[in-house]
Formats: sequence, C-alpha cells, structure tokens
Amino acid sequence: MDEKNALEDIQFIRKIINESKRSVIYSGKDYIFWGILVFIGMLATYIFVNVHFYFNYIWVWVVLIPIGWGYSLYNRARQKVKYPSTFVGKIISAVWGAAGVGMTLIGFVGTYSGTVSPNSIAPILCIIMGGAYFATGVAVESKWFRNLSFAWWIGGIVLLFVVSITGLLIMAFLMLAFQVIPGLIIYNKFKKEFVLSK
Amino acid sequence: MNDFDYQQLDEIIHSRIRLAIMSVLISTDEADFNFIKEKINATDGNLSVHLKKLEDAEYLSVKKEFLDKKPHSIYKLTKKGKTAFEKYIEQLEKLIKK
Repeated sequence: MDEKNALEDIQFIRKIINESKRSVIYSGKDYIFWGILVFIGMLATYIFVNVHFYFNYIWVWVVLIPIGWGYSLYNRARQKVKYPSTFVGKIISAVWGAAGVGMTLIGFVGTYSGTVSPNSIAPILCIIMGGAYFATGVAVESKWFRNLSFAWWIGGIVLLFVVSITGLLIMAFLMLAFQVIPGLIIYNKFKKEFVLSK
Repeated sequence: MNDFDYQQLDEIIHSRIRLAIMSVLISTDEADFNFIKEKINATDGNLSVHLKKLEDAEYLSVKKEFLDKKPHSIYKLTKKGKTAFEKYIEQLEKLIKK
C-alpha cells in the first residue's frame, strides 16, 4: 500500500461515513397523524363555539394530545427496531421532540396558569413549527422542507392579528396544507424507496 | 521519522467492502442488513460473507430477531471493532504523513 492508496481509503471512509450520517429513513406518519389530530381539535373547537356548545375546550386537547404522544412514542419505538439510528435522524428526533414538548407546555401549562392567553396559542405554535421545519430542512438538506418554515411563520404572523375564532379555522387549514400534505409526500417517497430497497 | 509498517495494517479491515461495512457501522449506532447493503451497494451474498468475517473476528455483533414475521439482523460494532477501526485509520494517517 502506498500514500495514494491510503489517501483514497481515507476519502472512501469519509464519503461513506458522511452518507450514512446524513441518511434518514422516515415514513412521515407522525406528520400526518399530528396534522390530522390538531386539524380535528381546531375544527371541533370552532364548531363547538359556533353552535354555542360551551365547556372548557382544553378537554378537547386533554384527549387529543396524549393520543398524539402515544402514537409518536409507539412509532419511535417501532422505527428504532426497524431502521438504524443515524446522526441526522437523532437531530430531527431531538428537534421535533423539543418542539413538541414546548408546544404541549405552552398549550397546557401556559393556559392553565393564565400566562398565555388562549388566542396566543395558535400563533405561538405556528412560530415553533416554523423553527422545527427550518431546522429539519437544513439537517436533511431539503429546500422545499426548509421553505415550509416560511409558510408557518407567515401563518403565525397572520394569526397574531386574527383575534377571533376564525384563527382556529386558519390554524386547521395550516395543519392540513403544511403538515398533513408534506407528511403524505414523505410517506409516498418512503413507500417507494422502502419497497425498492427490499 | 515515520513508524508506518504495512504489516501492521489490519487484514480483516483492509478490504474495500469490509472497510465500507465498518465505516457505515461507525457512523450509526447499529444498522440492519438492508441499510448496510443500500449504503455500500453490495449484493446479498457478498455482504453476508464479509459480515460473517467481521463477526468471526469479533469486530461486530449481530442481533437476530423477527420483524413482521421475517428474519431481521441488526449489526453493531463491538469495542474490539471500534478499536481496530481507529487503529486502521491511524495507520493510514501515518502512511500519508510519511
């Protein structure tokens, strides 16, 4: 072996390590599930208010959010068994885990304590979602995914000015357009690649 | 002064495919057969042979289980494997600095 071969080997190792670290095998199911869950929650609250069916609407979320967390944790455990845990995969999990915990705390503890007004929750969630999408897009080097963050941030700005129950409808639409649809795109891509790699 | 000696190169790792397998596993906690196959572009048969060689050298451990009623093998570098890989890289660096 000479210096040239050694250099080639080092470059070869570096290339494989970089590619493996960047690999993310993700089905997008969490995006779809959470998107539909929050869509249902927002729409249900909007309908309850409109039909004058009054009760403490936090109970809608007390039911829905634990279902979402349960599903995410189950999915994570299943994914861990099925697919390798890569560097970028861990970053994405951490970003969404942290964003999820943050949103849950703002939604429950924030409103319970009275520090966060119910009208502020949706815009705050949009802004956090924007951050999570931006970080994920950069980590997976996906422009379209990163650009979704701008949709969330713009949505957040709009919601900061809409202090009425229409805000619930806007948030429900944002969830469908910028959470469920991207989730479906990821899921279709995952299905194709996973079937091909089998 | 350079203390590179080509005889010190680990023969188990000193093969492109095994080097590739070790590189994939060093960058992930653990990986299954399909993931490694996809990353290094190897055939099933070829990959199995080289995985077995690394397993025999105790450079990697394998956990076999059933997933969706199909056999599923998960590979992970052992401490011995990580040390051997690091030593191999050190040897390459010494050669480049020569």
